[in-house]
Amino acid sequence: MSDLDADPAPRVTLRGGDLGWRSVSPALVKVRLITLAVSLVVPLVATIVLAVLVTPWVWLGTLALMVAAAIIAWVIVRQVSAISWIELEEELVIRKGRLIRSLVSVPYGRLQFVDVQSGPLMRAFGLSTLQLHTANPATSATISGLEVPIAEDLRARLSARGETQRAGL
Amino acid sequence: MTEPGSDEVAEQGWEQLSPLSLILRGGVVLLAVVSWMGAQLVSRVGNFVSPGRWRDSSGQPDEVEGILSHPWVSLGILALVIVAAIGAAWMSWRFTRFRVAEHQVELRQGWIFRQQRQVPLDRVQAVEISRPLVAQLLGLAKVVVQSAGGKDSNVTLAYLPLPRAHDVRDRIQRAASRLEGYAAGPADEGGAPTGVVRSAPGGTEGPYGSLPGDLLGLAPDTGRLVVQVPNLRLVLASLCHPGVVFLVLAGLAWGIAALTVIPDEWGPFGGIVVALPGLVPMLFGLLSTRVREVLKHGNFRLTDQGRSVRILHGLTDHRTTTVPLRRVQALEIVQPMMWRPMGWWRARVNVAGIHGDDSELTNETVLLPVGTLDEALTVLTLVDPALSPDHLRTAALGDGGEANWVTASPSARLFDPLSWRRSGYTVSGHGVLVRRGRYSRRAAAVPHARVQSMKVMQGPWDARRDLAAVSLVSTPGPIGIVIPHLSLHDAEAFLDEESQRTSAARRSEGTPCANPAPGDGLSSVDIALTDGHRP
Repeated sequence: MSDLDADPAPRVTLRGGDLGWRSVSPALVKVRLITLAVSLVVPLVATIVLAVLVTPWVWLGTLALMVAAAIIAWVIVRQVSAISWIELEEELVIRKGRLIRSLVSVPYGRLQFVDVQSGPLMRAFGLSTLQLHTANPATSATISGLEVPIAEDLRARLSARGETQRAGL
Repeated sequence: MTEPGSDEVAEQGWEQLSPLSLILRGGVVLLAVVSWMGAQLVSRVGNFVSPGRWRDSSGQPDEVEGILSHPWVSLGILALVIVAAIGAAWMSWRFTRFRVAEHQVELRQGWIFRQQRQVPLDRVQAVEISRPLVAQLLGLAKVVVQSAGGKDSNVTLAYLPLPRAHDVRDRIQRAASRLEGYAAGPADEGGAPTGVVRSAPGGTEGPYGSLPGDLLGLAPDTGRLVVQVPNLRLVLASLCHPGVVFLVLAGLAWGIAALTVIPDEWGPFGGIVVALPGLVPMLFGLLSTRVREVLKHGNFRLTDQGRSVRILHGLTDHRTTTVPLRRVQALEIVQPMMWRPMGWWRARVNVAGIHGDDSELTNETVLLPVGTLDEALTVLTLVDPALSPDHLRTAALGDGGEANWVTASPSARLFDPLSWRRSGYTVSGHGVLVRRGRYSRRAAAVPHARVQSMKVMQGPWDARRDLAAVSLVSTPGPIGIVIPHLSLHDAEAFLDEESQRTSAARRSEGTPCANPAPGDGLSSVDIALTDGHRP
């Protein structure tokens, strides 16, 4: 297909490899689990109340909720450990997912702007989300769970490179 | 609340809209009010003449209702409402001003709440003239200045007399191209190569050009006529739609079933009577989309303006749109299955700044609603001269096995039994060509220099067969470029090589002329990143 062996550039692959990929903070697992727990409280309480007051059959619903929560928790743990990113010469590459793997490569020259956001929960764990904006809003290149200083540094570097390598539409 | 004095206005170059736009903008409301009041009045008068019905259920005349129902009172209210509506519309017209300044187009609106909107000229993506049916009757036109920020940042000048609309459009385009450092030509037209045939059918040259002879009234229609779509072909093509076929078949089935089941005494049309209620909503839904299609693309003409193409379209509401060639991000030709016997294709483009979610603007990305492959290729190569017609032809018609084409992995056969041989990509020095679909075919082209970002995806089933899909992200628009079912190795190799090609292309494009507006907006937030970097 191609003369890859003669190619000096590092190869970016869907499964990572030895390029020095950086992963996100494991604390993101906690943040996401807390979010999950909070969103489960209301339905859980509802099923328990119904089970006590109306019919014990509703316990089945409670059980189903618990099972679903366990599965989602497992997925969260796996997903967070699968997020990794790397800054290459001309682009930032983000890998995500295990079951559905994806790899997004955003050239610095295409960056319109870079956002760093963090909600109260994320802030409590010292984390933030970095979002890259290109001319297509559907690109959706985000890295969640970066420690705030890392995210700020990365944003500064990205903006600087964006300016030097900027290309018109 | 001081009204701008007329001297001051003339001095600063502020202009007013046509007073007739009062009728167009307020007219609908007024018409509704008048007709409603009219209807009320008629029934009141009827009641007045025969007062037997002019009582509530208790048999007593309702006093308040009685007073309100008096013809003079309702006439008075009617007059008041009309005067108020006219007054408000007149004030709003009086306080609406626009001007084409050196660096921006400005629009001031509002009488009590002032609003000023401006579009920097270097963000102007396209200037459109559109003429709804009523506006045509009054000789008016609407000028829409499309900006990079999406629909909310567009400036609409509604309405102007047609010659002034053309004048304003030309002034905006002239100013915008002056800003971009084009030394040549007073306007886009001036940049057209000499020797170009500058005549449109029925058109005559002049400042407002072919006005008298131009049926569409959208002149000046200078520039070379590249392609024109006969309305009959458009109608036929719109009818060649799976929904229409389904409807006809369903109708037949209903009819036959009903005819055989319905008792004879219902008569020969009993079946149809039974069948109709089921079909009407479907018919309505389907027809509305088909009719909209024809309305949108009727009278379609595309002219070559040198640095841009101008599209004239619309069966009843005439519109003209200028698509600057350098803003074209990706191109595509599509052939629905039912168009195959006729060999028809549709050509469309992604244009920076024209957003897919805005239904009013999406149609402007169609460069050829229906045409032969040759016409489609003419349009594509006009828009992107670096494209080779031969390559495009292979992309459109090829069935797999050509040299230079990387196609789907054979292990994708299970997922894509029909088109796995065909779907794939080829690369030239200029861009990537992608083709998909065996029966309903599509072929897309994106220049290396226009790829925004790239994505590789692999779902669980893909992973089992060592497949992956690559997506080349363009700006928002109808075209999404995805190469599915490549072998993982091909996909990763493509990503690697395409990264280098796109970066080389970006570097060589970095001249001010090809890069008129750094970070062509899409959002004002990026100004922080781009300011101080303008060429």
